[in-house]
Amino acid sequence: MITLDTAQPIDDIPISEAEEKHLTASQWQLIWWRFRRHRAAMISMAVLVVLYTIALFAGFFAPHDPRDVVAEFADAPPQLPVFWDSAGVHFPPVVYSYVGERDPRTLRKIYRLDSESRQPIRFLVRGEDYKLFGIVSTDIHFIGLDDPDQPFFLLGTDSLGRDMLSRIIFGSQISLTIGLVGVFISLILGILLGGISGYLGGWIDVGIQRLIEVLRSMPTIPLWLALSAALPRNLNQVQIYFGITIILSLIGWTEIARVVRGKFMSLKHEDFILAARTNGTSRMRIIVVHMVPSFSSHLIAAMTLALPIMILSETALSFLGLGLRPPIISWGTLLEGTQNLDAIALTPWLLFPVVPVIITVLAFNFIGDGLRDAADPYA
Amino acid sequence: MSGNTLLEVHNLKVHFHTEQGIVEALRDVSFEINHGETVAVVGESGCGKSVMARALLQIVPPPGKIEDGRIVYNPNGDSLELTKLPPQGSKIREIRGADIAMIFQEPMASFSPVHTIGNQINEAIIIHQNVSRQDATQQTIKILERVGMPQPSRIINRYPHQLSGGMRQRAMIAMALSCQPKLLIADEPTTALDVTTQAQILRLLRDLQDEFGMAILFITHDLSVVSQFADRVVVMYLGEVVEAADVITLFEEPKHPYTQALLHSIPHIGVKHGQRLDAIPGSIPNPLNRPKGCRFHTRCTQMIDGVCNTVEPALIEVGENHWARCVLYEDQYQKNPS
Amino acid sequence: MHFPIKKGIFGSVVGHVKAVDDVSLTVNEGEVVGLVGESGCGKSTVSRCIVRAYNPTAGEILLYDTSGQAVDLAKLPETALRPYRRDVQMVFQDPFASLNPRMTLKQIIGEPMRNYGLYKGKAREERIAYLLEAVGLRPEHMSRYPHAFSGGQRQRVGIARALALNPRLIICDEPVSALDVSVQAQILNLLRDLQSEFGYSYLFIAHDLSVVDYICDRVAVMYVGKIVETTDAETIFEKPQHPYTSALLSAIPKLNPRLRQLPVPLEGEIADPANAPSGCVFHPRCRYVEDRCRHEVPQLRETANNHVVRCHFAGELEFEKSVEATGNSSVEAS
Repeated sequence: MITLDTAQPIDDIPISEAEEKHLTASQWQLIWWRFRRHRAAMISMAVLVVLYTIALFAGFFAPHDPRDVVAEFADAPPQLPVFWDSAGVHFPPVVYSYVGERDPRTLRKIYRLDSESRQPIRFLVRGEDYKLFGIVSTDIHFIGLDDPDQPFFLLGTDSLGRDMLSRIIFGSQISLTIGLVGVFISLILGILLGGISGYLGGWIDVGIQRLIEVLRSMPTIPLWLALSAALPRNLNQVQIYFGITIILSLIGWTEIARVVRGKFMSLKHEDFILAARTNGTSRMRIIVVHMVPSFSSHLIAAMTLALPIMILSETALSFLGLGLRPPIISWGTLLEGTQNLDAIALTPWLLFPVVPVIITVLAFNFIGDGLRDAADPYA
Repeated sequence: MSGNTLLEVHNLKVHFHTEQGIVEALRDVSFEINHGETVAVVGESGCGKSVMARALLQIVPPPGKIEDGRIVYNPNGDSLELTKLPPQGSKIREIRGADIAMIFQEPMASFSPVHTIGNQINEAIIIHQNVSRQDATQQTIKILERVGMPQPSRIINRYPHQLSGGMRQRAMIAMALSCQPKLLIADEPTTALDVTTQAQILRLLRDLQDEFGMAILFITHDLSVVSQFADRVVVMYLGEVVEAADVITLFEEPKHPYTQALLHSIPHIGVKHGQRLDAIPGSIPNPLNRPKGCRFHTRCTQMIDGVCNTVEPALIEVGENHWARCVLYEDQYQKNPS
Repeated sequence: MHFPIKKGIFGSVVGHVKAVDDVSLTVNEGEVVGLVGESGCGKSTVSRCIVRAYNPTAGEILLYDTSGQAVDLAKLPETALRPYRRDVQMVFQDPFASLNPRMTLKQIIGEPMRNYGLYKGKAREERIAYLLEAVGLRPEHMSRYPHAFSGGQRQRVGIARALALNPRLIICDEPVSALDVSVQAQILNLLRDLQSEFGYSYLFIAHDLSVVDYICDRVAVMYVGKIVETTDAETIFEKPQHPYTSALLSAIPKLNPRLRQLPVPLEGEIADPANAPSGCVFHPRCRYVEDRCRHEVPQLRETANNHVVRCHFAGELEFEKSVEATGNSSVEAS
């Protein structure tokens, strides 16, 4: 046994079990504890969980089939739920039925809400048949009316009489995932090219950096326009979807590549990396065990901040008619219908898809900020 | 208080309100500086010496806050309580820089990288002395020459990053002295420098002090620099003053166990081979989790169980102008009066 | 070791910095050799060349095995170097940067053993516990992460990691200069105790001569990339022969308020290695300079037994003491 008197254990102030837990906490636990204190990020996280749940169970949450055309109720205004009126408080809330009239001058059909005819909103009602995840056949909907044949358009309808709420809910399936796929492709490209650039250095690094600079200095909208114009016309929906994600990630990877390269460059000169080299750690193990975990949290933060850009880009492209095209339903294609001023003036409820876009983008930004602040628990 | 006192600090208390809890950065800190005198504040990391220096100028960085205490500045007979002045007000700004100047460990921190050295010193002179730009430039060249800058009329057109560490430190001293302050606060001014440059800077400060007659508050962790430079010494540990005395007394008859242990643990030339250093056991406690009772008791070899870990000792006068914060010098605990 | 100076977008080499030039140093088995100098003198570059963090431009790094066979580490490719890496380990200056914050002590100290397949399973855990105890830490803390420890304790972890492979040479790169004064002595004592107990050889790099005096058998002093003086520790402190060594010694502030420095020991600034002065690199600051020093580069000369000096006038100079005993006259008790 060792008898050196420098080898006497140092007696620290006794610590509680909670403190001991902190001392043995891994990086991810520390990050989570710090992230938890970021209130806006925590609320945003809950919001996103709700949004993705709705997207996942779109058929259940949407009261109608998003492609169901009800010509009788084209351009109908929203039947917003009413909680109280002259008749007192309503629980469950009610919606008023439509009374259709024709404008004597323009001959346009206009709808009025009849506050006398109230229909209570019911939860978990039977309605149209749909397939959950494309497999399970059921007809239970989250909300609806007692009589499935009565009009029930909480956010109004479009010019073909399709339910806006259902279309927004189904649109979220595309809009919320296109960013994920895009970021995933960016991530792979970014780690690969950024890692090579940062680790190898030299001419390869110079080449990749110049490429990034060229890509980043191009105006993005015209570039996307050109690329999506170059997509073959005869693609099916799935192919278009992937085509667009690849176009979006062609720009997206540059930011991630820069983060990765910067981290590789600075980590290469860290003492603990040199220590690992001097005690015989292999190059592969240094990268996988020492370097990647040191910046993975930064990477997740960068990805979270890249997601809203992807979502906005998809929306912008589709709005311009150059991204996804109907019949694909996404928040961007829904907004395509609002391109002329008349539509906005007469049927302003067609702008509703903007609301989930804003909420999603804000939520991802807040989470990204929270993650970025928490990403380095040792700073 | 004698008529010779320039600055008095009474029971200064600074807290940092962090997310993990309140950190008592300074507790009950009192000392005074006389005109033209050099007082060294010495301590290790976390002892609060830098916070104290900033508190004197009311520039404690957030989340720090001066909770209590008085700082009385007494330039020429009429005393002024700095703690009563609004921290952003014009009065304290007049005093900062002109009456009380400060130099830092890292000179880059006090120079803007985008302006020339000359412009920045000019600016300080113009703000505080109300002179024309030409006169200011003349003064700048003169003061740069005085701090030993080679070719000062060329240096004024240089940017801070173009100077070496020692030269930057000289430029910062020049800026601090440009308005002939009564008190110069030097926060670890030589820590980042090599020994030979350190010797030059210490010599320079001493010469300038003889010439301008300002008092210097010298903040450092290095006891050997203290022994070379200070008239009086204040030793701090974890936010408290543990001992204060004149420099000869402190080095020859240290009273507080921390000072004694520190002096024994420093390797210095002359500790010969085979002779062990008397290391202080343990590490400095976490500022969030300060020991109860005497803050040094966890590492003290003369710890009295039941006393040191429960009673907070007061600063006791153990000799003429010699103070120590230790129960060993309180009558009822005095075991070996030596 | 020469470093390229790069300029322009595509980084073409426009010059070289001779960070370290023609440095020869020997560390014998069980010996503690100090390498001292001020910032920019190249002492850290030497240590990093030995562990091959940099590839030296020219020269040999010879590692002798127990039978006296030498291998030149300077030229081995990484794969061939690996078996020899376990003989040379390093303790770093900054205890916060030198431990991976994302690994527990067990992983940190276990990694070198894992790399060489030593002490499998239970035996490895026992050895980690033993090493932790040897450096004054509690074995039961091995599942903690570095953030649980203070600077001094982390430095102990770094030492335990360096000991894990039972190396023959440990390079201590300023192991105490980032630590608090009250903790420095603990680490110095520990390093010395480990050395006398296990007979390790240290190359001890420091800028602080008083630390070197405490721990080293032999000392080499560097100035702007060159070794200017090498001899045993006692001689260097009592009878230095190079004017730089003498100035460096008198620049150290004495721990005695009655002994205050009077003249500044050394005027001017350390020369820029990218633009080193002609002749003797020290001549612009040397107070004994003569014409010869400005043109002629001095060679290392053995002036006495085991005392090597790079100065034209080695052994001929009388250095004046720059410290004077000052009574109470300059120190006014207040």
